Amino acid sequence: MGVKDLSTSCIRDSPSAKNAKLSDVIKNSTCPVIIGFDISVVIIKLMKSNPTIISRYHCDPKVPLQELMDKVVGTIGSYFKHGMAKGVVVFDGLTNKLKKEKAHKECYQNNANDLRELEDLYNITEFDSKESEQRVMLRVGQLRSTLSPIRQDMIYDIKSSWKKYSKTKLYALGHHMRQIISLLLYTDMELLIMLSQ
Amino acid sequence: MIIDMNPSTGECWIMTLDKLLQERLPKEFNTDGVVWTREILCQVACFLGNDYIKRIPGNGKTKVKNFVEAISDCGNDSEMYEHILENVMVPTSGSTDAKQTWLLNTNKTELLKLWKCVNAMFHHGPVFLVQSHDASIPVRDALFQDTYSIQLGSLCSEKIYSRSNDPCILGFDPFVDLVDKLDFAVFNLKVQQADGPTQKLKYSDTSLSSESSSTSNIISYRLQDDLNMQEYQVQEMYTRQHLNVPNFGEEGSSRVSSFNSKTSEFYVSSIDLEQDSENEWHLDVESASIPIKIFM
Repeated sequence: MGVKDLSTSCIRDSPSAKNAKLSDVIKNSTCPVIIGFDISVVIIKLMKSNPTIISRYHCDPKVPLQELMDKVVGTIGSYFKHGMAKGVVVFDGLTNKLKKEKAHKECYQNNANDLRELEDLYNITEFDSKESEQRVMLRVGQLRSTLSPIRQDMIYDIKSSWKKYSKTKLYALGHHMRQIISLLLYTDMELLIMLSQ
Repeated sequence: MIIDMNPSTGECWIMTLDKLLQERLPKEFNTDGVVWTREILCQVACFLGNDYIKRIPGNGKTKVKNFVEAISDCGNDSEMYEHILENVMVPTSGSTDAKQTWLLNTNKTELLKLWKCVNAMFHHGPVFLVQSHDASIPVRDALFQDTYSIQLGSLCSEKIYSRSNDPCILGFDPFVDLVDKLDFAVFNLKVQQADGPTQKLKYSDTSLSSESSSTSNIISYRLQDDLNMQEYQVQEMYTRQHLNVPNFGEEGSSRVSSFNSKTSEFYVSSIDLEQDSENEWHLDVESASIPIKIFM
């Protein structure tokens, strides 16, 4: 929903609080447990935890992000280790009219401004001092981490990495038409679509 | 919802919707005596502002308690939206100038329409649905058996529209959509008669019924004209081209834009879905006229 005041404090005691063990939850479940992963959240979280991945993401030309993919499949794989029967990787993004007119408009406007700023910073060839160089590098890092949306090639990479990691079938759910087409064209992943906004 | 599992220990944070509504939110917002529901949560999501609608200045977390208590006391949706219009859509923070600017720049009726539209999105947004090939087999089992298909439909609707058969339909059940619109219309439905003044018609929700076929949906309901002691039986036919997303048009014409007394026809607006390319569409509001038969 994108409601700031209905985030962590409402759902969780503290950002790192734990209240259950996954294996116990699965053991007590009356049916096989299927877990859906908001893969954008997983990817972005893992990306932001590692500046090297962000740097590789912004390489031109594009380079594969194997380290990130290993982390993604490792994260999903750990749920299987604790008893999950099926994993469903969810991609969202079928942007409805309302969202296009509101959140996306604001978001893309911000992105456009940030991209311009990043381009300007890239064009700086000389620095007045060591401090100013550090300031610019810090700002570049900040901007890069906010300008790292999920790329279509990542979807394919997740699938290939998963195939190497495990024989368990992983399902992909997608909202975004382009992502779905990309999945259909480039992968033999099972395609499911998720009920979420 | 499982959040943030530690891969080595398997410890995680779990929160269910029931627990959120029954324990967490009442405690968080100190709303003893109020029964939180999904509907209330959606209203609070609009109150606090979200991806679709901006927060009204001053409507922060500390005011949720009063808001929730007030809407819980409302007898019906019309009362609730009247309360929102009158009491919630009032800026309470910032300088006097900022408040004045907000009031000048905000058409409260439009904002209320957006608020209702956002709520409609939460309840009836377009989604892809996983369906079991065999209706007697639960979806969960169908997933394990690989006997499922995916179709496009509305979040709350049981009617499923196949993307391959009709690319024009993108969620939203026309029946539900109409209920929403008429609900909004309770205090806003005005009909301009050809030779007379604008008058208000009352919609009778108990009369609402619908019939669906593979190509169209027929929706029937009654409108009461208290002034002239008349009642109209209205029958609307939606074909699949009349896309059924909430359509909140101009004030006073959100549902019925004109009424021709000679031909006994109402004219309403519709929304069409336009296809840009093979796999992409966009929605455009346009004032197409759909004749509605009136049986008097």
